[in-house]
Amino acid sequence: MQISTGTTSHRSINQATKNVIKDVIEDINGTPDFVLVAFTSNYRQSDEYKQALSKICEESGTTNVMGGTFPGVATSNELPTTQGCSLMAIKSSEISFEKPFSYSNVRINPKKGSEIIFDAYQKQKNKSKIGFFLTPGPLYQDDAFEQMKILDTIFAKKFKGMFNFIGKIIDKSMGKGGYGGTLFAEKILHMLLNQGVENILGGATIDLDMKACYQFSGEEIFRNALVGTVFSSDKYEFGHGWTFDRSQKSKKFDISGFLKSSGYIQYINERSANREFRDIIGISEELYEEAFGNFAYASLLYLSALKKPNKEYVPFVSVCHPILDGVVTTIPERYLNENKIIADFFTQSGTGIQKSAYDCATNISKNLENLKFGIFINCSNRLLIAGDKIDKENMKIKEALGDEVPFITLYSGGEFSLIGNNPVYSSVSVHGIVAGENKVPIKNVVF
Amino acid sequence: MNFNYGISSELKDLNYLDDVEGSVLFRIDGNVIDSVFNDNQSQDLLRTIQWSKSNVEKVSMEMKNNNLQKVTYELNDFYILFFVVNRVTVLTTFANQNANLSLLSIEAKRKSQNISQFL
Repeated sequence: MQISTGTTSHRSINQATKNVIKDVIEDINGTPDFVLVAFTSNYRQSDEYKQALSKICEESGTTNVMGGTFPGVATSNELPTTQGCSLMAIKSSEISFEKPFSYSNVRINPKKGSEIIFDAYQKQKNKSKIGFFLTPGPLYQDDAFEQMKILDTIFAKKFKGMFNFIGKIIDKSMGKGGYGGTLFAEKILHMLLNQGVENILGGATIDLDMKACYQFSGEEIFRNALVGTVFSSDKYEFGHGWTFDRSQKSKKFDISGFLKSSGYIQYINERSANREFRDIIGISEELYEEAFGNFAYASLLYLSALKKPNKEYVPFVSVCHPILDGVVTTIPERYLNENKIIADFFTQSGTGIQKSAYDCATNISKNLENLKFGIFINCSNRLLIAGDKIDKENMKIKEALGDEVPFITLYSGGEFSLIGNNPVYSSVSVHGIVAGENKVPIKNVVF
Repeated sequence: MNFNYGISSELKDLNYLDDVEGSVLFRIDGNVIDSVFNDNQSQDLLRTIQWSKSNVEKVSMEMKNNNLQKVTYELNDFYILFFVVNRVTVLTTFANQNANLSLLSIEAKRKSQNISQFL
């Protein structure tokens, strides 16, 4: 098996592509069986990405290429970049790769998206297998928050049923225009679960300005598509897991009023959600604006996490915009419908992020040896929290997997996994897979 | 001459990032090794660059004494990021107030490491 990874950075996408081809594709002896390509989103123009993708396909000699755009990308052997490209090329007779698929209407019709993933999953007959897909990330119009003011009206608070219905229509209409969140991915995970799929890793492409994100499949480039593949092997197993920074926990709170179709929280602890949110985290409106205004009001350091009875906490982004009385969240309807939900704030930190990345990598590799490669979907909010210390997070992953194990990290706009019968749709988290051989149990010898 | 390679190219890369106004590779005594700026420079930016040139020695000393790899200042509505390149040079990046400092500092760190390989 040959695996090569590399990251290059340059102001010109052509130069970055040329360099990464030299470093990665030319390192593989022959034609790679699969190429995962991740560009940063700062190049903006789809034509530029298309040319770069064509060049990668041409030079690698394969169209078994998939990927997308992210605010930051990294590989095990290089510092992360916010202006460049990361590539992972694999040539292996022991791992089978399904030809990358795409579906461009996924925001409107997640069911069809899940069927395409399921078909690809079914085609792979090897003993262990895992699906891997990328989706469009959150994209909103400039005046999206203005439009949401309707959710603060007395009618929206009194006639929730009607507004939930209206919310669904608005979501559909936004989806047709290529806008919206990533809740469709949560639906896909549950549909796949119902079809008996056991192992899926996914992430959302994203541009932090929320203007445009792209997905790649073969030589094709999409703005709003699901792209993916399935890996399978008889020799290797795929360790799979996720986690987030659980190190510091703040106060519990009660979600007392919400519009479930929009993930919009109107009341927390029976008070106006926006004000109560800031009171709980103990931050003034001015300071909140100053600290988070540039980051689309995402609550980076104070992460709301929800827990169903007997289940683990799952984190979600909460956006507390000053013109709204409520809080915009990524919480799925499935959670809001739950009666006994526990809600908490978790305080995020650079150290906690490093530790959680280490925990994730340790956990997914604990039953494996002779590790071959890893793929990590890591939230772009964690990239913003860590800043230039983000390379330390990758060093922690390296520490857990071993110096020689190549991996790629994509800083995403939403992380998704189906692990056994547990679907995990989360934010500000890290999800990962690693391929390796099952550890042979050491038998106790009795003399 | 290869314009896609070398110190100048690394500085140009930084200037292509959103909201970056200029970047300078300083020797710690204040001498400029190389610099790249956007075409339209405001008076405020020029004053900020002048301040950096006058203070780079002091800043470098502080960074060295306290083992700091990066220092950020906010002056005249600009962010100034100082990154250690090696014992005698510092990479300085000037960005306006709209800059995303987290993303910018990731790339500035990478550029400072790339530049150190050319020196």
